[in-house]
Amino acid sequence: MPGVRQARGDLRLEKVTKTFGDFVAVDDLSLDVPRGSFFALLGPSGCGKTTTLRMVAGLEQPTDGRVLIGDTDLTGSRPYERPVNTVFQSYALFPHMTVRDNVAFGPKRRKEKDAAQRADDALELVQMTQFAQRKPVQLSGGQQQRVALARALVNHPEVLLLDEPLGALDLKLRREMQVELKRIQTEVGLTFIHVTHDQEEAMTMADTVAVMNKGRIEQLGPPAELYDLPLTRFVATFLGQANTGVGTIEGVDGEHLVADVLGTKVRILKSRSQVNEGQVLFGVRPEKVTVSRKQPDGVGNDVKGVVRDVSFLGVATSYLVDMPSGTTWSCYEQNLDVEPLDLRPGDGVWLTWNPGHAFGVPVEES
Amino acid sequence: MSALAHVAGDPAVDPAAPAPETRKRSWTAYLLLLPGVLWLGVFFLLPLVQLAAVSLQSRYPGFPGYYYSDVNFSNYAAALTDYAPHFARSFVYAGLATLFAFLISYPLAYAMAFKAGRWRNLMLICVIAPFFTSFILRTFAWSQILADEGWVVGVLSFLHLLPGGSIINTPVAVVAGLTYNFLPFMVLPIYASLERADPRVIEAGGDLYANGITTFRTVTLPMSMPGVLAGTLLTFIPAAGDFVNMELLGPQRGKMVGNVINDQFLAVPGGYPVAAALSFTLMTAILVMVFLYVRRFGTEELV
Repeated sequence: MPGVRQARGDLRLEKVTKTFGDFVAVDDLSLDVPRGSFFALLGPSGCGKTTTLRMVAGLEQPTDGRVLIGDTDLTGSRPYERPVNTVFQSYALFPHMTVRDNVAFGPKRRKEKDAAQRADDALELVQMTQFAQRKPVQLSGGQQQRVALARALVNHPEVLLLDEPLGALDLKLRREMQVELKRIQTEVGLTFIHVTHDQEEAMTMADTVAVMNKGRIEQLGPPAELYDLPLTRFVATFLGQANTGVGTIEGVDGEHLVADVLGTKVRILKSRSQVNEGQVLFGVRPEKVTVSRKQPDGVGNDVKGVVRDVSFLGVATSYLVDMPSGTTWSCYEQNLDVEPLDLRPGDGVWLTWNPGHAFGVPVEES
Repeated sequence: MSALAHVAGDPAVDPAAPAPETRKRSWTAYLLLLPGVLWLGVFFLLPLVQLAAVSLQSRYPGFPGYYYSDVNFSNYAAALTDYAPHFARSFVYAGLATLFAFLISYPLAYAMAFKAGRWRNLMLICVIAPFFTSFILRTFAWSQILADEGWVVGVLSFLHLLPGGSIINTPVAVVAGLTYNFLPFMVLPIYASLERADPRVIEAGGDLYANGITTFRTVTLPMSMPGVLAGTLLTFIPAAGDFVNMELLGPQRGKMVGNVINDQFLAVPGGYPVAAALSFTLMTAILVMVFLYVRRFGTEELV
């Protein structure tokens, strides 16, 4: 049995492509994940994120391109040769073994002398010590999840892969586990690659988020950056909500581009628009939009609409407003005024925003 | 089979049954059980008691074929002393057939579960297809295949691999016939348990530094043990009591216990008590062996 390859450093994917027959699951993808970071691959189902993960694990081999850790090329090596461990979506615990034996499986295969001790330590890290003698069927989903995490962590892999690990948990448990995962990652200092379709989960936990679509990475960066300035239409709409309108760029006003969105003039900072002429998808995040009954002072960044729906959310009130362009915008009013606006469906309202928050992306999806 | 694979309920995990409903439901349960219990009582328990009574009968001296009710254990003594070699042969042949069936079935079931893709259903049909013809006919077919004039013997003789020059009417033919006839009973449970296994669990073995062989030994095989257990029982039990394969494929001397029982019942005048005693002894021996086997390889802890 060939031993585990020694490899230390950043995880690098170089021009990786994976096809299944005619279907291109991952398309010429290059990626550099710094050692010790919490990295999220975010995208809808079928976008190639799980395939990417499986190529890092060695469970799939790329059709083209290379997978490296540090300077060690791992392309073509078997899963058991890689210093990489996976937390599977369905946990994939060994049903015929106790929790402790599940966790000790990796160390035993690596002929570690203190496999049992390591297993116990890992179980302590995920707070599952008292369940060590149980079988997986006797555990709840959240407990199985912790065991799966311990079973991977116990090996101190160079890269830990998490394939939608929180998908099967209910909302409350998911929030708890998000905090827990982040704590553990900080504690052990390993590279975590987290695959998820839940944008909130990705933003909460990851240092860096890569938004994937159709086998490619659309945009990569810290969550706040992606949210604040999306570069593509897909990122704008997949990562959080965005109020958008298709318009035409008509000119320049100092630092700003001026666009006409179905009769309304809007301004976008030049540095925040990916297009400089022709058609543009104008966007602004809902919480950046202010609602008022009267037209506010200043021109260019206000639109009159008609309230369609009002939902009281506690901390805020959410409005859906029909815009003259035919689209529906969403915006919030923080519930701090002594006298709320008290809008009803059918009321006319003025929406306004700071042009510094607006962004422009290409209309067509790349 | 499901009883063998039954997961021991953990009282701490199992939710308590709702109390008020219990009484009403239990009546329904008994009613539903009634036909089955009646069937078992009339067609299994009653004949069994009858057989037990016969096994203890004595013969009228000088009147072959006539018996009277008695508590005569000498039939059992005769069964054990006179026919011990037959029992031994039955268990050895059945054991060998079970072993060979397992060695053939496991790779087949594994291929069907993991590698067959769209051919899976066709392979399943091929495994089940022999059931569409009678057991006797298939065994007859084997006597043709293994006959001295057949191609199997021809090829083996040509290659000088057959010192005796014959397969038919030897124990080899009997074990081959038993292996063949009970193969589906081995394949199907193993296939079912492998097919149910989550492929991710097997991948997890590789992910956790186990190579292909180690993953098979530590993950795949243990996970399929309920199927292996069921398959070996379903093969061994009928094979140990079988007499058709020995009758059609086996030698004239050195029969199995099934043949002795058959002969004592049908051919030997006054053989009923001994045949009944042999039947009971065989049943008890199998029960004890199965009990020990399940205790040893018990799967109650498996999913």
